[in-house]
Amino acid sequence: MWASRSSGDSRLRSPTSLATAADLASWSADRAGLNHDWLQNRYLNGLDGLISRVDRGDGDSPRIAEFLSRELPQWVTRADSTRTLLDGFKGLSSPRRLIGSPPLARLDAASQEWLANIAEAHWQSSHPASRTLDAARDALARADGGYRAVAHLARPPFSAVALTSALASLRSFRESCDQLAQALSALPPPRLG
Amino acid sequence: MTLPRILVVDDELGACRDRRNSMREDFCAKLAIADVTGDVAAESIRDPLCEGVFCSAQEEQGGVVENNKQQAIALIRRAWATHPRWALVLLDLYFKTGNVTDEGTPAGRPEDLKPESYFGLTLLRELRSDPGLGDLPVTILSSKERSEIEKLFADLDACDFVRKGELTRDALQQQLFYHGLLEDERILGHSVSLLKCLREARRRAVQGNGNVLVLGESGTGKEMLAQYIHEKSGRRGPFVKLFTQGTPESLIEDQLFGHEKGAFTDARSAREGAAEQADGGTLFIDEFGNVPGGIQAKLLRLLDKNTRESQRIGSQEARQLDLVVVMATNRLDIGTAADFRADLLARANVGNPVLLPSVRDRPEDLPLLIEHLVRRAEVEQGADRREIGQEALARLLAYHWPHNVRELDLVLGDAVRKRPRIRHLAANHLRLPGALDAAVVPAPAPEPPPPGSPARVGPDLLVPGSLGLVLLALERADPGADWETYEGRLGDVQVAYVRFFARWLKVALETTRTRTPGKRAGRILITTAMKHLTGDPNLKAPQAADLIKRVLRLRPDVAKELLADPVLAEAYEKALQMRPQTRAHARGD
Repeated sequence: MWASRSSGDSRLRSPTSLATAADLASWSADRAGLNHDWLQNRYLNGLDGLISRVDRGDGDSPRIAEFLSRELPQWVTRADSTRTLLDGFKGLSSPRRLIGSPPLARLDAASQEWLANIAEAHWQSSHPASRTLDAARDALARADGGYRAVAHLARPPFSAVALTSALASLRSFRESCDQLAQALSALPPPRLG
Repeated sequence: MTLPRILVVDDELGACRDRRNSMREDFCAKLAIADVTGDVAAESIRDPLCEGVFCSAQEEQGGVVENNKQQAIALIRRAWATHPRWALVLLDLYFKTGNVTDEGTPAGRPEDLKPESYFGLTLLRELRSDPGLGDLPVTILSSKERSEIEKLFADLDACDFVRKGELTRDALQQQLFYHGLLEDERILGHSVSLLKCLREARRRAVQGNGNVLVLGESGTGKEMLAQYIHEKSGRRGPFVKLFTQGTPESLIEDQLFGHEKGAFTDARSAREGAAEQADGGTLFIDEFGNVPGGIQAKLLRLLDKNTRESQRIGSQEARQLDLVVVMATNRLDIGTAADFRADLLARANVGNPVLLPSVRDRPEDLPLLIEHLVRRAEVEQGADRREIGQEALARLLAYHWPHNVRELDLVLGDAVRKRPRIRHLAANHLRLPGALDAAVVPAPAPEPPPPGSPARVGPDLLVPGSLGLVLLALERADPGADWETYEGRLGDVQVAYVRFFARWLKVALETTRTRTPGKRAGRILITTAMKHLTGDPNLKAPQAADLIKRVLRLRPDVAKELLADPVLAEAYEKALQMRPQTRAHARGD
């Protein structure tokens, strides 16, 4: 499962080697685990539940304390995982990975490095997938900022007053998480080649 | 009022582990769903939007989770056939299967992730292959990318696709509004045919300033449906009714468009018509099928959604209005009516009417309607509460109700009124029309009349068996009916009818009054007025006089009150002058 992996996954091949079908399937499974299973189905759903309960003045619900203590702080580790996922996407999608395979592999090391940089720069400036990746990184940064504004809520004692006063921040964090989810969904599956 | 009940088919929301599902708790909290599944402890929801039943469509055996299509289909089918039926199904796409991990959830298999093999679509395909479930409204609810399966779920007739992150309370309310099969507390019933009609009415209500044609047999509740459309349209303006049945053409035009001061002899001041009154709201034209040819041409501009123009009689200016026009008729074949302008029918949206089902078309609603109408009659008449006997119910269910809910209401109201202190509604309390009595309770064959005896001309039809038949006779506005036979039995109806007749008579007299320059007050024409009232152009003066006398004197207790009106008094005097022989009796002196 994606959740069990840490940043710097060693299974990703070197940036200049061709991706295998297994690499692509692994990345897709990781994305499904992070985006579908955790971010959308659990985390956003949990944030929505929290906001709704606070909104309707039901600050005593035991689920609130449970969510704040156990689930809200999961953002920290999951944000790292998201960065790894995005790096992995770049590694699998950028034309840099083609350089290490024949016939380009026959070039000398300096030429390979030069060509890889040029190809990647071109990809970053022109390819839609690259722009989608940038959007995802921006969304991640905004969500990180949003989390910093609500992180204090995860520390007991849990107060209904504090939650009510943090409602705007919670909503803002929730929105940036949703934007991140949409950006992750919009990343096209990397292709072999 | 029963809350709508939705079914959520989702592997995670439907799961039940250790009598707790925190994900479902959050889902219900955010959408205001009262969880009635009963498999896990549910949080209490204040002011819930709907009830929710959750189903995982999966089962775990030996540490491996597999999808279980039949379990889900059986649950859906079971509740679809009962009440409350599913108002809406929210169906997930991606169901994870395989070995259960340390987290307690299945690890997932590669095929679970493939759009073409999403279990949610497999389930939907199975549902759509069952003719009994064809009307089940299903909305896809998923965190997956919709573009991958856009065509697949459209082909399978899903109502919509909603991303989980976008499903808020308001969004769920919208889903229910547009796609849900929702009951209404006034238009009673939970049959699919009625709920589909209400759904179509809601959709049409919010289509902007459109025209809606409601088709339904008499007594089905077309006016109530028109009010429902008005309420659901969210328009702040009024709901204005215009009845065309039996109204002379000139009066319809005046009532619909109004007039300017001096537009005609009696127009002492300007008056706005029903269309202007309905500006910002809804204009309801009842008995649209009876709109005369002359008015049809004038309606064209009002029914043009782009202009919505209304012009008062005597005015050169057209006013632009913002309103919804709802038209109702029991002429189910109006689309091919030769007496209607094709362009008017097109603007009336005749090709896409809202069809209000008859009681015959929704027999499963009868017990609910019967219960409601009996209770209402008991309250209105201060009668005892009664059990509805099985035989009575069977008799009511066997009848074909040609006049629909109105007739049912009249029959049940009559049964309660006649026996206010009886606490059991028996089959013999029900005065159903003769044809049914004969059909349901076989009667011995009548003996032939002795030779030479006077022929009996349908005595059961002349003496009404129920309030329903009387009211139906009233609807036909038949002043020549044998009212004497009702004397003492249906007093309230008589009073109502006499007042009704008097009001219409006055309108007819005023609109047909002739005026000359030398005599500004003009004079009333009782024969002409009665021709309009009865719709009989061949009515003779003595007949007209007799009718006026006969109806106005039917209830002496009301006659004095009515004859205090100078116009009616003048008409009555004229009738007496023409046919003087019963003057003393009529006055009730």
